[in-house]
Amino acid sequence: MWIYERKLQYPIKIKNPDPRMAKVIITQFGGPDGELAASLRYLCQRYCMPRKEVSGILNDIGTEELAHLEMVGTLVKQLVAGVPPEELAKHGLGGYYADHGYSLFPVDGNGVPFTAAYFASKGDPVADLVEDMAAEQKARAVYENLIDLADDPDVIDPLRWLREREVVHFQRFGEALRMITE
Amino acid sequence: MDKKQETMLRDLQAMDIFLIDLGLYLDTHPCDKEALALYKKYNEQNNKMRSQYQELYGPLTIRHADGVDYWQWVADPWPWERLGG
Repeated sequence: MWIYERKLQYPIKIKNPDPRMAKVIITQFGGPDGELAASLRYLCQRYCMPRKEVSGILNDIGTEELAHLEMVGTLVKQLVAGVPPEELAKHGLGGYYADHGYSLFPVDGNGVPFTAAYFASKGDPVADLVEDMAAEQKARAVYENLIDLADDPDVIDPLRWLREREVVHFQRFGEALRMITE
Repeated sequence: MDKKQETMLRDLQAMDIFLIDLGLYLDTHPCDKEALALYKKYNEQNNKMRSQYQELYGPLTIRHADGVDYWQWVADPWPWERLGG
């Protein structure tokens, strides 16, 4: 089970709305390498691991990814706060606004809705952990691309923090893979 | 969120990520005695910080929520609604 904690994992304080960045950052909410895919990937895979330690790392990283999902959602929400619909449309969010208003919905940067086909759960520990390591590297690369697109330090700071977490998770999954193969 | 709450929340978030990170490390290094001792030490400190924060600014989890006239859990802005999380 889970218990909700009434705080973000890392502070987000956007003073200047920026719909252009909201449109691209939302891919880490519902895109192929986003936090929703990450969380579901690990929480699905954890049921079929040969070692308790490896189920543990999947359980705990899968849980942390939910906190990251909340951070990305907060980023998007604050980036469009107070921005009128016509301004959203100028930045490519007109279609999004028509379907979802100011609510969060898992899509990628082009508005393509989330699909569970973004991740795998094979019941084969080596296949799953290698996928997980690749997933963390892909997410790191996306955060780096987003940082390249950003110019506001209030946006860059939490993106850099989220990027760091991908690096740590990659390291832990590598250790989990070695526990299984050595 | 006033300055004091923001500072306390920052400290709590910093302590939390330290413990989360150490917890992940322990998942794959469950016999590391030094890390085990660190976890115990800082987890105790974290519990104290959480109690202090909750006394001043309300519940962090629903298990700590109560209220006489109004359910405290829904009295304050949610993390995504307030600047600074």
